Amino acid sequence: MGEGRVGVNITLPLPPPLKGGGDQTEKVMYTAGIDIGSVSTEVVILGEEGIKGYSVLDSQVDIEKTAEVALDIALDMARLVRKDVAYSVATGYGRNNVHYANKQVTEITCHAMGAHYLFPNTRTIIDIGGQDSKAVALTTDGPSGPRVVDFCMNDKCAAGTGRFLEVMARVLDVDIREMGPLSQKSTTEINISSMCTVFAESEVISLIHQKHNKEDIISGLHTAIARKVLSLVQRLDIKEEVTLTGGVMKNVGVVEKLQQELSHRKVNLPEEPQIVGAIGAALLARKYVHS
Amino acid sequence: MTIVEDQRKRQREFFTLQFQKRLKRPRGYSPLKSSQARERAMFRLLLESFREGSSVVWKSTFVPSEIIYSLGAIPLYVESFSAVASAVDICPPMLDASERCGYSRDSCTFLRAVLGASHKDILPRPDALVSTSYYCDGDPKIFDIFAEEYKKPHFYLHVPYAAEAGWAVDALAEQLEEVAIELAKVMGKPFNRERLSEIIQSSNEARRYLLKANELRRHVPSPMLGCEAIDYIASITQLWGSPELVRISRLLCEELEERIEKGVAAVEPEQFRFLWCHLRPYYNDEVFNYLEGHHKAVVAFESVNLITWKEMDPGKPFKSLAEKLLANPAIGPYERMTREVAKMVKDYQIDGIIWMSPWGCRHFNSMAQLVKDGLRREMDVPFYILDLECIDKRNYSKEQVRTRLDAFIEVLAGKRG
Repeated sequence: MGEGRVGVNITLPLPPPLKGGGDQTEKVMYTAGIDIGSVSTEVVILGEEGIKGYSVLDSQVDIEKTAEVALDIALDMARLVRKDVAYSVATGYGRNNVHYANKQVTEITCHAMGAHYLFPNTRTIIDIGGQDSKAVALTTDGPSGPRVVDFCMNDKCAAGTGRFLEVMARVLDVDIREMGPLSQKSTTEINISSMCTVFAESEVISLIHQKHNKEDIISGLHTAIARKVLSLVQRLDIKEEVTLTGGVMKNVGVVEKLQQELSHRKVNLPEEPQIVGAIGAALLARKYVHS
Repeated sequence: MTIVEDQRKRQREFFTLQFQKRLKRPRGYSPLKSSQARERAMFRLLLESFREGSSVVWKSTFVPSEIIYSLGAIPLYVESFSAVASAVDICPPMLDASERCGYSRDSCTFLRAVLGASHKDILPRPDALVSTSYYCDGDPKIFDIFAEEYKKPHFYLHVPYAAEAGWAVDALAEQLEEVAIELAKVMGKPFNRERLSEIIQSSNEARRYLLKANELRRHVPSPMLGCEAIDYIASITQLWGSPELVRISRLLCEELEERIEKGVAAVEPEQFRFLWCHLRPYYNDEVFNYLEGHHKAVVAFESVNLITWKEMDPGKPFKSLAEKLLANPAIGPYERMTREVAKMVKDYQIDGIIWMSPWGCRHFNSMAQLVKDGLRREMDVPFYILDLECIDKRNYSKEQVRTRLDAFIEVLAGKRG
């Protein structure tokens, strides 16, 4: 199994109380959210007292096995076993391959629910994952709580996503985790296209040959990513507040570019943006468990 | 038998084989008799155009086929040919052929497929070609290439963008008459105005039936699958003016009435009702099967089946045909389309709109966001712009499309609460 991380020390609000159904006083209810993305797999275990544990693993070819291992790691951290989980929801591109999940919900809905849970005033979500980027608009109008009203996703190419950054990190011979801090040292703005990953890669190689600083090139890449995803956001009826989610938001350089472009809006960044989809899935599991 | 005759015979045999393959292809539904008749009529038309002595006029989407039928010629609606070719899976080599000739993969796949087919010489040869400047302005350019290739005359209709301007109808009617007279010269016979009037009457009769069918499709639950209905393309079919369309549309009405009377629903239980804008992927039924079969979300109506023109006056055939052409909401400013979409949403009790944005369709894609924003100001109906390819199955990604459809269904379910 690939590189992984686990954690429980994340500061998050308590989940909303369950409405109707079963006797909550008898036994603590735990639910699981499993987000199987193209690059990483996240599992979140949610209890009455908040997040009990979570795991983040690299997605493997064997999706089912990745989902199993990620669940077991998260449960270990929560000091729970599988039978303690009353309901689980799978999301992400591998959602239909998680045989233990009770229900499948798309990452569009799950990221929105997770973001709203963390920042209740959120009305717009920008998610940049491994192979897609999306903008989601939600509302809290109506009796049934937050719901998605519109969304846009990247089309035709995965340029401007996590995979795009991975390719560029390799070309630039830097650790992907260092790209954010490096870009903050940039002094010169460079324009890089975001239409095609392969074309952008050759552009970066050309810039290296022209002796441009890596810091400036990386900053240019982050600008390209931010502008591409903002073109999606602007198609929606964008409202306050904006929350950033997805693994790419761990990159401080991309976040800064987005914050600059959205300077007139309040922009929220979760402590752990990568697990927001799994949080949303675990929250939905709480909703579905008695439905 | 001459070489040309022999080639035509082989082409007929090839397409007959393809049609048989198409009929044998498993479908997720039992088609109506009228739908089967429509499909047979389309193939018969194609096969007829290979027959020795047939006069064939290649036409682009908005050229009225009534004029071509009135001359005793067969209209070959080239974009429709691409759809048929895609459905029988002979498109990839045609598209490859066009790419080898340097045509960009980013351009309209309907036209690229025909370009490839003409290079491979598998199409019925034209005696003349007619195209319009608008809505698809790629048509006249590509028709010029065909005209050069086949050494046949290309007539061109300049369709005003200002479709609702007072002068637009007369300007177009004049051109239609001129084209009809020129086509008659090519066919070597005088233009017969009475015959065109008869054809117009036939077209009116089919229109009345198709309007009634559209009315019947307002029924909840829907009596017909969108997967099946969308192939009628009532707004632009090349069968307009043919006696077959009268028979088919009459039969369609009878079958829909029968279904409604017997309480037969296309999808049971019907969960959601969609309006589908633009055409469809022709290379498979997966998207519709997924929506209608898996999600029980029926495509209750399609923008391409919208009939917006008034009954034509057989005494004024060219003016009537010009009015018919200009009544298409795809022509002119986007507000016309927004207006019609809003009306369809109300008429068909639509829960959500899927606006298919096909690869390479510059006009339709550029209108998508405008219509969405315009509608947002008028009504609260979820609207999703779905990037999806009509012809080239190499541009289709099943899982990507499914995620978008799943998410859109979740939006509708969330709205319902």
